[in-house]
Amino acid sequence: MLTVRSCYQPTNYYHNFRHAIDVLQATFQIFLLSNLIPPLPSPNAPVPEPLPALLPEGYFGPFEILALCISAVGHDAAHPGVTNAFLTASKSSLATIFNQHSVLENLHCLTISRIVEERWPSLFADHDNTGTGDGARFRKFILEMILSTDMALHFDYMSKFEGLRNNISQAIDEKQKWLVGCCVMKSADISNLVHPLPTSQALWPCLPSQYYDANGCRHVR
Amino acid sequence: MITPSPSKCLSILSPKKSLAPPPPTLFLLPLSPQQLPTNLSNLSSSSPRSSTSAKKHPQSSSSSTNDDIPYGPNFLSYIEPSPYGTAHIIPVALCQQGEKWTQNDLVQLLSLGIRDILTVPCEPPNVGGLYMHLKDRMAHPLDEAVDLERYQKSRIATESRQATFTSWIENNTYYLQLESFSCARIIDLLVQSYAPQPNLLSRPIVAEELLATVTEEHLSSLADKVNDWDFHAGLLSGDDLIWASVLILEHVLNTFSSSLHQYAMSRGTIPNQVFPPDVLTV
Repeated sequence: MLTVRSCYQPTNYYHNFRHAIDVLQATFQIFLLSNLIPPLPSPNAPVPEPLPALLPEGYFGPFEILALCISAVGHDAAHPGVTNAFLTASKSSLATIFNQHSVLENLHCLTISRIVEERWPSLFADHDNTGTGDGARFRKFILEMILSTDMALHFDYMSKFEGLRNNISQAIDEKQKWLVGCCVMKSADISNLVHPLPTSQALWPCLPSQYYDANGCRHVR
Repeated sequence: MITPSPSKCLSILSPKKSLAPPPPTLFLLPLSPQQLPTNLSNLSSSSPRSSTSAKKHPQSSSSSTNDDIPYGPNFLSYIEPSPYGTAHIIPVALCQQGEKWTQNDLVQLLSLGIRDILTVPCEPPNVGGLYMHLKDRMAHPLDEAVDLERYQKSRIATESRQATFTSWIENNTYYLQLESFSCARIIDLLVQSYAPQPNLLSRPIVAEELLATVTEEHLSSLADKVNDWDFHAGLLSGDDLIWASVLILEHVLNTFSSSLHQYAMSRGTIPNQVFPPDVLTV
């Protein structure tokens, strides 16, 4: 986690390590409110209330829950504080390398997957040497979740979510599980707005401030 | 960190026609806002060998003592007439952390053909120009004339250029000469450069980075906050941000230990250092 923290730009008003942990907590809260996991143990831990679960049953097991938590922590890793549009318009080398598609999200994927490989190698380990085991599945799932946070693809995902919601009674397959995972990831990423007003408004100015800082560069480029 | 001499750097970036063209190369050019000329034509009109009028970047001092070709914006005027031009060379401004770049400075950078600024690799005080270096006995990805021609043409056809560049990235066999960059691929350099910590994957965690000791009471209080939807984890401060993430990840692993037992997570220690048993580290 020290390594993850070090790859977030502390100078970013919004896309910094604080945002990563905010998204991780929101992801955890979605699991909590869906009765998929008990609260963190503490003397004052709340008794789970019998509320309707946020997520339908059967979509998430331990694998998906752990992978989503890691995705949340790394979903903005190494964010340079500018947008995809900026990187593409300025013909940055980063945009060239990633073929101008989801440039930032690819950067986040690359960064967090390298960190996991280095600091938590068992997670991506290919135990059976087939390249299709749990390690490969973990990696693929995490990358899919992070790539889904590209807001340029937002309405594509919304359309997919809508399609899934209309066919929720069908048998659950891997593709559907991953789609619901993307839904959780995206919801957590923008969850600041649904916190109670006093807690969410503290972070309202951060995103505009970050892009305001980059604005001078954007005009130039 | 090894600092190649400017003339050696130049011989690789701007080879004679009879030699194989250089691979796509990131050329990191130490620059300060004060050094920037008004435009590239000013550079061309000055004598390359006597181009010392610009202020020397503090980090270029060690390099220029052994060679009268200074690093700095003038260096681009050496590369420009190369038969391969900048088709293979991505000039990147290398500046010191904390330097302030105005809009006007950025416009001048653009006029020099520089679109990226890196501040990260400047930590060592004596960095000069850096370059991607061809290791001996490595295959050259662009040594066929037809490939070179295609590559140069593709600078106009953006898609082709990207395809060529991407293909090179995937297959390249070039390594940075610099030991501080342990990465083997150009993409790693870029990623590390955009991240605030250079070599974050290769450097060990040092004792100074360890979190301060915390009590179990503090962790319980933190757990209560994380459990509470009304509390915004983004409002946590300092090390509590890391502790919150550790608590969640540990909780997931403990709750599903039967399924996730192979993914054990440790709060960590620094090798060869002894900590009191009651001190928790991450």
